[in-house]
Amino acid sequence: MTRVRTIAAAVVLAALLFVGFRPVGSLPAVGRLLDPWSGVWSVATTAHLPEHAVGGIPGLRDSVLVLYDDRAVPHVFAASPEDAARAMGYVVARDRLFQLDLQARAPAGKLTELLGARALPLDREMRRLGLPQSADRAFAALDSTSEMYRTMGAYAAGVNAWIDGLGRRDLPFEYHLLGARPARWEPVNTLYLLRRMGHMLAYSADELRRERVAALVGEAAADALFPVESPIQEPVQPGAGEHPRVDSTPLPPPGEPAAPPSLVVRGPDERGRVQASNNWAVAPAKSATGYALLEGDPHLLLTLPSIWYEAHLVVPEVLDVYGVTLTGSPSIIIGFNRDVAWSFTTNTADVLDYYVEELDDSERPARYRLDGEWRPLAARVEEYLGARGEVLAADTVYSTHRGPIVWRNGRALSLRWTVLEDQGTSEALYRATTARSVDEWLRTMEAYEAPSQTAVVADRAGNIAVRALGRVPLRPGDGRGDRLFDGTTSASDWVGWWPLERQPFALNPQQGYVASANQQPIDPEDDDTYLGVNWFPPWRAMRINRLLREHDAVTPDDLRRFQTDPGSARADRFVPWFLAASRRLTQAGRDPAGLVAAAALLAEWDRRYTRENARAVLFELAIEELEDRTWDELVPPGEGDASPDARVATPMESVLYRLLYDERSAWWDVRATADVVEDRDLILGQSLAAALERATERYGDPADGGWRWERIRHANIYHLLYVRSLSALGLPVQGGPSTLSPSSGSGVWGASWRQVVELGPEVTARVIYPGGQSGNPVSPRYDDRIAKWQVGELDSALMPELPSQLPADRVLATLVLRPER
Amino acid sequence: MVRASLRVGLLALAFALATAAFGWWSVALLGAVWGGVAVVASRPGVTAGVAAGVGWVVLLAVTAAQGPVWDLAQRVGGVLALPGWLVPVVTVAFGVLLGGSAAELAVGARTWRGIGGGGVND
Repeated sequence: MTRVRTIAAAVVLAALLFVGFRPVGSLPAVGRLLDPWSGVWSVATTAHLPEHAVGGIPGLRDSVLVLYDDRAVPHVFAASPEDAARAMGYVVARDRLFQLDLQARAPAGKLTELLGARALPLDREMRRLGLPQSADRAFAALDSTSEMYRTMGAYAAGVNAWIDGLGRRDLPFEYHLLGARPARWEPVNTLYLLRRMGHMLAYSADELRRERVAALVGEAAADALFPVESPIQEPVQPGAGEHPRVDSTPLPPPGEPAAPPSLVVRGPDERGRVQASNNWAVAPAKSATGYALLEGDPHLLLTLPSIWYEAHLVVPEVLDVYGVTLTGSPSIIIGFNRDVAWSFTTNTADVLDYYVEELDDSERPARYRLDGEWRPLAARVEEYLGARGEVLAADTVYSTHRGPIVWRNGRALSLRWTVLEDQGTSEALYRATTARSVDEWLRTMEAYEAPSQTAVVADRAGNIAVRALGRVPLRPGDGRGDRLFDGTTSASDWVGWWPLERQPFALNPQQGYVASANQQPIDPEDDDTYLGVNWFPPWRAMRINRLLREHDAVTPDDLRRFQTDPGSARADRFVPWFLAASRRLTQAGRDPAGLVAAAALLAEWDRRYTRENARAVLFELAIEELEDRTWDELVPPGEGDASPDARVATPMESVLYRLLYDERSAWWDVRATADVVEDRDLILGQSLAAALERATERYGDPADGGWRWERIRHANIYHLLYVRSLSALGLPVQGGPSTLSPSSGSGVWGASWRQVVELGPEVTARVIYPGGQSGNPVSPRYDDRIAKWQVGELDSALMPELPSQLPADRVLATLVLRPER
Repeated sequence: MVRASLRVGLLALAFALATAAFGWWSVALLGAVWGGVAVVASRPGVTAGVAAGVGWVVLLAVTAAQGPVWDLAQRVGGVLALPGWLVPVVTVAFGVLLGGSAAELAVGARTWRGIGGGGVND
């Protein structure tokens, strides 16, 4: 019996030690994870900030006082900008260490070292695009005596001071899950982070999309479906003409294929991706208080913790800035100081071109042809390491004088991209935080290079301005950049940059406000120089402009309400076409089954995407059906269905809207019904009737409550590692596609930050982001702001000039940072 | 009874201190040491298991006094596809089995080597 027990004990002990020390499958090593002292349980002990804490940072010149207010926002009072940067590194690491680490590894192409082989595709993309090399080059080119260089170094010292002081019980949650330790922070990581933003905001493949379309329906049709000029003009830069202006001329019909069938490949479904940032500023003459107002709500991928970290930095007589920083950047990126407020939207200018290269060998190339001569390719070997330092994979990455080579459909394409050449952006962002006026802010931001943005800025003197920022290339020939270029000739290369004075811009326009929402920034009637292609429809811009035109005495609370306004210019434009078509079809006896009921339900809709609305879903399904029927020509032959996944690409809805003006366009005809030639009204009617059928099938009878918008469309804020139990999912929100706070199909994109700033004698601001300041999932500050964000509320931002101005009852915690050797 | 409780209490303290000082694996080490030297205890494996469990419960209680352990259990349970309440149970069970099996193994080894004391016989 003893022997049996001993053997059983040996087996149990061996098994426990095995799972205790070794990860099994996706499970971490259980022993270290469940250790009741230094394992994952210890995360509970760091859930709350200690009321008083003292830390040390090497290199600090003076002590720094950090007061956390009751929203857990650190107010950093330092004697110099470098000390402030050191303190920022420390406090951000204290709250968001894992995020810092992950976000530095991602653009560096080193996620595999933390996450293993599953991250290999992401790492490969970053390294093949040359993002880390580009950041390394930019860092090496920095003057080591420059303020920016010293600031990045100071920030790194702050982060590393926190890492060095980590006890066994201080590791963030995620490291316990991964069985890993944080990497030390390098100053260059700040530049990696900006490259990552560039990849998120300015990496496009319009040329390849257009090529796929041309391969199916010809060049003329491809040009019309992915146009250089938006069919609906509501520009950022106020122009002379009437806006919105709709191009109602007919689209050219589908033509003959313009390229070999090998290029006809499915494209990604782009419906779920909603890049939908807004910003606007109101002049004193139009505001109720007589002061300039500024609103900003950049829409990005929503994550927990948030991409943003809120902070206030004070260096007497030098710096007093409040706002959000990207975790890993020493600068406040979006925010305000006591004189100026600013915010950004992405302007989607075309800043990337592809060149078809001729190589001497398709397998092991060494040279590429340029102007009739062979030139050597630059080659480097990229090794991808696993968590234990083992080599998971290796690639040889080639580059021409333009940039890295990527392989698409068997062709070698080199790409030139402003993001890879950026040198001045980090410094511009850093210096702009001290601007005292709109003019000074704009002059400072002239050094901004990438990713291209549209900034709205306002100051205490009552000035407001909007300006496109970032370098935009000028191309040879007709200037267009929406096609693949011939890489064998240097005549294809960029010939210069858009001069700053011609960049979209307005200062104190007569209309009393400025606004941008990712739309085409200049009406081509004012300047038709090529700036980009396939612009987002200006639905949000139309709605913003309408709201601002209708209000003559705008209050900060109006701006808050506008941020989640449920109205939709898109619905206002499309719904009448559906209803008119239904009427005509019914009168002519051509109405498909169910159309009368569907039209009656749609007519009841107030065209608002409130949470309780029970008709928006019908419209959304009708638009989906309309796109599927209309763009069936974009489904490669042999593909069975007409879903977005099957199409080679899907044109913007503004193109679909333009098509509505052409009753008998060939695009309306559905290829699958060879014996019928459909026209616009029939397609609209069929789409609406089919939408009713789908809605009833999916959500039940419209009277039963299943159609309520809050039951259908949600915001989904995933944890950085997509761990569901650390995420906030299925959040009902007000807003639909193309409202001012649009909800994408997947719900993973949304308003990442909202601010309303009033630039009076005392600057006042209300702000929020979805998430919380802490990266600790069990901290009350992990997701404490989500409930308010969901319903469009904002928090008042405290902005004390001196520590004594922060009311004692609003101080959550104090941190004193002292110089350390 | 009192002496047995005291023994478990002291051993639990030792397990807790060893875990805090060296890590989870020290429970196996300490359990084995206990199994090897505990000539006076009956069922040293059980004693070690119970003591290790108590020691770990104490550590969890100390942690719970400092932060939201229950919420943490829910989050960890979500990651491991377990109900939240099961996570502390699994944690303590891990300690119990680790300490108990190591002690039991040491007792067995001692018996086989012919140096067993009275406390190890069934």
